[in-house]
Amino acid sequence: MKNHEGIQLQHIHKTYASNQVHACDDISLSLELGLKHIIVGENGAGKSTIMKILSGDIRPDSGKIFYRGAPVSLTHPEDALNLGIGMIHQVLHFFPELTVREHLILGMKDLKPLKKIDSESIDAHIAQICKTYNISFSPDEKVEHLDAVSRQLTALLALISRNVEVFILDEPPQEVLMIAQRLNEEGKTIIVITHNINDAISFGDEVTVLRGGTLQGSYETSTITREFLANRIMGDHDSQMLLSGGKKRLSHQSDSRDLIGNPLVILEHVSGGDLDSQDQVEDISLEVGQGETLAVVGIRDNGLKALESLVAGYKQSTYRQTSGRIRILGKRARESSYDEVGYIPSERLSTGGAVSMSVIENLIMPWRRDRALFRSSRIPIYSSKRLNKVAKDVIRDFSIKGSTQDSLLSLSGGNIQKLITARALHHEPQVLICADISWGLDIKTREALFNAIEVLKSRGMAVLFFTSEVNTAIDEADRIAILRRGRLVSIIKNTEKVTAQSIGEMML
Amino acid sequence: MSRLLHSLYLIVLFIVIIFTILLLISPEPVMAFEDFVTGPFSNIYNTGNLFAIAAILIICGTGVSISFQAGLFNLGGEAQIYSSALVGTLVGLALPEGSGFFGILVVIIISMITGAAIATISGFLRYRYHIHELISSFLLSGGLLSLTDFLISNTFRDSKSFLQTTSKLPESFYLPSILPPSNLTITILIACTVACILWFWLYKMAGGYEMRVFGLNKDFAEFGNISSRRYTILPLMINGACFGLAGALMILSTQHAAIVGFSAGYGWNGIVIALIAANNPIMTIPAAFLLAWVETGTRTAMAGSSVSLEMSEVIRGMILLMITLRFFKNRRSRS
Repeated sequence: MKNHEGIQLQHIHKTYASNQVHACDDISLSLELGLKHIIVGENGAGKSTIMKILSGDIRPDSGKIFYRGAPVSLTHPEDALNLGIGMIHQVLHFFPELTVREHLILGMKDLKPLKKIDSESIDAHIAQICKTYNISFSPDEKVEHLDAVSRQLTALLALISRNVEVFILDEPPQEVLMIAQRLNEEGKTIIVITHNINDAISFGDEVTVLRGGTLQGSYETSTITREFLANRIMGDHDSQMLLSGGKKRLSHQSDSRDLIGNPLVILEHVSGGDLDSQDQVEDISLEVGQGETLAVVGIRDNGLKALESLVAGYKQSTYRQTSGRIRILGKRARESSYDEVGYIPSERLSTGGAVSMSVIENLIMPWRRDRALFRSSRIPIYSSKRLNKVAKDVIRDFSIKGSTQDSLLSLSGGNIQKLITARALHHEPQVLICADISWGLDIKTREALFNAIEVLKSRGMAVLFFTSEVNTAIDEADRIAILRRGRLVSIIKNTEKVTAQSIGEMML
Repeated sequence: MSRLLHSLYLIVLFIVIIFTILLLISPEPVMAFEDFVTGPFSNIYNTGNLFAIAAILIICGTGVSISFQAGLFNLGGEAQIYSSALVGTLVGLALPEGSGFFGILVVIIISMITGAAIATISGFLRYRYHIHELISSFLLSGGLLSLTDFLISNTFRDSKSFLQTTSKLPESFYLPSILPPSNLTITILIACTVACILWFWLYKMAGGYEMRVFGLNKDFAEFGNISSRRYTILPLMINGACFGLAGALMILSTQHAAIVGFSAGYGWNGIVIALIAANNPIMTIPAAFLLAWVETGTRTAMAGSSVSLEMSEVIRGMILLMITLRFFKNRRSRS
C-alpha cells in the first residue's frame, strides 16, 4: 500500500457463472492519480473485467476497492460516476434513435420529471467542450448515423460533461487517445486497455500486464523495452510473434506474382451503394485470382462498407448496385452457396450472429438445412449429437474458449470473432469475402486466424479483404487496392517498398 | 432448482395476496378463500372446467408465442377466434347431420383457415406496405368483432332461441367428453399435442430455427439468406390458425353454437400466457393451468356467493398483474 491517494484494487476475484472462466484471479493493483496507465494482455486476460469492476459494471466475487484512501462499494456504473470514475466500453450501447445531445442529457444529474430542459445552455456546453478538445460533430446527429469513432467520442463527451476524473478507455481508437492526452495534461487520470504494445509504450506512463486473469506486474514505461513487454504478455514462448510483423509471410512467396491465377472474383465498372449517404462507390473494376489476397483499403463510410455490401450481396435494400457487373465464381453476388463463398461481415455482432442464441445455433446458420445435421436424411429433425459434433470440431480447431451451449454473448470478443471466421472457413470455400477481421484482436488470435486463411489460400482460395487499417493490409495482402471517396485510386503490388505512409497519402 | 424455488415463492405470494384482498372485501374471508383456492378442485365439474379452460389457453398461448418469437405482435386474437368460430359453425350447420368425425375435422380445418387468413392479411400488409401488424391486426379485429356480432344476432340468428345465437350443431359434431358433466372434452389432449408439435418445430427443425433467428436479429437473418417474406407472414399464419383452432374447439366441445361474445378475452389471455411462458410453447401448459385456476377460482368463490362478481374480477386482475410483473422482472434481470 504505497499510495493512499490513488485507486487501489485489493485481491479481486471474479469467476463468470455462465462459463466458469476465472477472469480475475487475486488481482491487486495500485493506480496513481494523474498518470496515464496502460493495461495490456491477450484476449481473455481479464483486462476488461478488472476495469469493469472498477467502473461498477461488474461486481467482484471478493476483494476490496479503495479510492482516494477510502473504501468504496461499486454496485452500479452510477456509483463509479458519482466518484468521478467513468468507462468507455469497446462495444457501446446507445439508443440509436436519440441524438448526441439527448444522450448527454440522459447522463445529467439534475434531470427531473416535469423540469424543462435548457437546450441552449446544453448546446453551449457541448460546443465549448468540442472546441476545447477539437472534436467536430453536430449535437443533432442521431447516434445510429454515427460511425464507431464518433460513437466513442460521444461517450467521451458524456464523461467529460459529467466532470469525470478517471477515464477508463477500452481499446480506444486513435482519435479518442489524442483527446485523452489532452485530458491527462489537465490532470485527469487515464486508464487505457489495449493490445497494442507500441501504443502502450509511446502513450503510457505505467504499464500493467495481465495474463490469464493474474497480475504479471506493473512497470514504468521509461524503464522497459518492447521485447520485455511482449515477453510479459505472452510468456517467452510466443513473444517473438508479437514483435515480428506479418510481412514475414510475404518473404517466402514467389515474387513472380505478376500473373494472377484464374480470376474468381471479377468486378467490372461497378457503381452503387447507400444512395442516401456518402457510402457509395463509382466505377470499380478489379479481379481477385486463385490463391491471392486483394486488400481494399479505404475509409469505412466513404465507400468501403458499400463495396463490401455490394460484393457480398448483403442488405440489398440499402446498398443498391446502379451499374456494372459483379461475378463471383461466374455467378452474381449472393447466388453462390456459403460453402463456396465465405463471408465475414464487418459488423460482427449485429450481422455475424444472434447474441442471445447459443454457440451451436450461431454456428449452424449456413448449414441449417444440411442433411448431415438431421437425425436421418428423411426426417428433417436436428440431431443434437450431430450438432454437438460439428460445434465441438470447430471449437477445437480454432481453440475457441467457451461451451457450445453458452450464448454467443458470453464469449469474449476475440472468441466471437474466431467463431465467425471458423464458420466461414469450415467448408473450405473457394472465395472468402472478409472485412476488418483483426479489429480488437490480440496478436496471437490474429495470427491464428490469418494462418487458417493462409492454409486455404495455398489450396487456391481467393481472398477479398476490406479494411480501413492500412497496416493490416500491408501485413496480409498480395495486392492492395486503394479507395478514395468511392473511387479506386490504384491497385498496387504489395512489395517491401510499400509503406503505410505511402498508402495513407493515396487514401486521403 | 432456483426456478422451482421461484415458483414456490410465487405461489405463496399469491395465497397471501388473495387472502389479504378477501379479508378486506368479504364478510367471510376464510370461506371465500377456501372457495377460491380449493374450489377448482373440490369436485369433478370444477376440475373438468379448469382443464377445459386451460386447453383453450394453451392453444392461444402457443400461437401467440410463435408470432412473438418471430418478433411480431398479433393483437387481433379476439376476432381471429370469434370470426373463425362463426365460419366453422356455419360450415358445420351446412354439412349433413350425421357427419360425425369427418364433420368435426371439416369444421376445425375451415376455422383454422379462416383464422390464418385474417392474421395473414396483417402479415402481408407488414411485408408489402410496412404497415405495423400490431396496428393492422388490432383494427381489423375491431371491425370483424362487430361484423361477427351482427351476423350472429341478425343474419344467422336462431329465431327459436332466446339467446343471440346461431342454431345448434347436431350431436354428431360434439367432441367426446372426459369427466362429464364438466365441459372437458378431448381438447386438452389436442392442446398439449399442438404445443408439443410447435415446440418441436421451433427448437428442433430448420424452419423454427430460421424463424427464431429472424425474430432475434434481422441482419443476421439476412446474412444467412433467411426469407423475410416467409417469416413475416408464416408466424402470423400459424398464430391465426391456432386462434381458429381454439375457436372451433370451443364450439365443438362447449358451446355447440356461435353465441354473441362467447369467446371474449381469450385473444388477450393468449398474450398473457405467451408472456408468462417466455414464448416457449411447452411452458404455455403450466402457464395456462395457472391462469385457468385463477379463472375457475374466481367463479367458484363467486358461486359461494361470498364475493361479488365485480370483486372476483378485481382479484383476477390483481393476480394477473402480479404474475406478469414477476415474470417481467425475472426476465429483465436475466438479460
